Amino acid sequence: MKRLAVHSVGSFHPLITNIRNYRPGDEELLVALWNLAYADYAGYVKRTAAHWRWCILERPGIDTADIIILEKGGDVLGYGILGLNGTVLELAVDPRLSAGRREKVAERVNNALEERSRTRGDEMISFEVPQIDEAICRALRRAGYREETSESLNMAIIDPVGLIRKILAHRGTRISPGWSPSFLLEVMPGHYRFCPYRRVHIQNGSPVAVTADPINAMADYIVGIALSTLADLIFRRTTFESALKAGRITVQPISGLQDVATLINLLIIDKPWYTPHADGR
Amino acid sequence: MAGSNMNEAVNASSQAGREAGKVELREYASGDEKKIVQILSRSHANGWGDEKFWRWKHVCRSGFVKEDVVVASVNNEMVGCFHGAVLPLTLEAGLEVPMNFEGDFAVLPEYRKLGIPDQAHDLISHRLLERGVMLRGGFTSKELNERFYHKRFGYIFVPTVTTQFRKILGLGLLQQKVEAYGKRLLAHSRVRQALNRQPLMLNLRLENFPPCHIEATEQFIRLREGSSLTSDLDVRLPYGTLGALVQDEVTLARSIILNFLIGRLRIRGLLRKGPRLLISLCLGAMSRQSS
Repeated sequence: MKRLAVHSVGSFHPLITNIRNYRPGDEELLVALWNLAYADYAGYVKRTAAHWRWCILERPGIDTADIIILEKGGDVLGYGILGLNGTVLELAVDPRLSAGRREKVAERVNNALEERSRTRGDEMISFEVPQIDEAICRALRRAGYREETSESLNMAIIDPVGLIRKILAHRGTRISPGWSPSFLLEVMPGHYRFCPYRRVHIQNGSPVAVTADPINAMADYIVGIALSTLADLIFRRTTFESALKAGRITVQPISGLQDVATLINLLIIDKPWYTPHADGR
Repeated sequence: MAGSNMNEAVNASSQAGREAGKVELREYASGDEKKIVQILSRSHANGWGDEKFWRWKHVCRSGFVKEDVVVASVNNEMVGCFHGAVLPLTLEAGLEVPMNFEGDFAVLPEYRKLGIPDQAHDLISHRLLERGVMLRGGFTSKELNERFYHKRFGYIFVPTVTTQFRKILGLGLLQQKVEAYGKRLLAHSRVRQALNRQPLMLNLRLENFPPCHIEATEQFIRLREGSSLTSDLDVRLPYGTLGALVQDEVTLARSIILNFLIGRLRIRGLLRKGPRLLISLCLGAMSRQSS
């Protein structure tokens, strides 16, 4: 696998792991590690150095001593950031390490965060991590942490045309060559108060064309769907089959079911959804 | 998202609000900070923060535009505020879409049930659409979302793998819980009578915690640091019991009983002093009953 530039200046002995606090210039390394560690996830704000500086460094109450970095030979293996009241804002461990090593890295970073939290007089420390990251979860369970349900991100679609266009453009390579049916979505609000477009036309091809409220648009298939149902499908709250069975989606002519199912499959966000505490709070 | 605030904003009502004039919505203007922070502070039970925090969270953020903050006024008096931040949300590697991360919603109690959140929601949606924003949302609990945000605005709670791990580090939270639990217990006259006859002193041993003890008298039940030389019983609690503290008293009581039954909670001196204490406590409680 390609080596990521998560290498700090002023390296220590290449075989000794070293735990330290943030130093100016670290943000590029930490942001790179974060984006690598969570590359297979959805639901979080992609880090840039500028965003990270605002979100972490400039956050009132955050001290550089709250940013714990574990490195070896100048490579950042993992880091954690303690926010106010013992809330860990970010935790990332190099995904290229073995599960056993990742667990040890998580354990050492956690120990340092906990020590810092005790020094600050916090009554409680809390992490928000992906429950499918077994290495991190094992480290926390072994340290006596208790698992709780947490708040998470809710959402609504503002611009279905922009969203569909963006997803299909990104996934263009997944579309089989020659598959070029057109669809007219007749969109109802459903649970939505705000439903800006009532008709969305999708013409597959290269590139895919998605237009709002077209005049006299012709389409191979007409799909009746509520905006709330579309959101449920895109974000995996329901399946196409279930929505069809429940009458939440209609297709005309019925012979287009397979093509509509293919379209919906192209729109589904299938990565595990993880949102760290630092995002938006 | 300040879920409870939005919820309260719709559910609560007041005469003053009903008699108020027309609601006006506008974007943030320099000089609004003080009033906005006042509204947020009044609407959050545990306080919100200060102007410095507000400035960092909103105007100091790269990409901030005045439209990110909408204020509601009635008769030229600011009565509500709604905040957002447009940030790139990752949907998969290389696929990021602009999303408005919302929060810090507040409406003064006397101006609730005027539909201000609905009007603000509509205005913000139109403006976000014009700015090319594709999604909007905020942080809330699954239960509140299904009960309120989904039905009212269409928000969905995306199935998530995010989970929270917590660990209690200090005695402060435990002291608050013991005191609150004690107040509930002492509300019962029989408990007071029993403790009048037989005050209790329990030494507590908790993993990773300094020694502490519980004093229970007819006036108070409290947790104090240090061991007591005159304790009636020595109790050793597993750390897992403390996790129940962040829930409620019933969960805590259930956790204590369960741990006692499975032998993880140990009480030294129970056989030696237990029967005498029990009889004394029962006699105390019964004396109240007979009197």
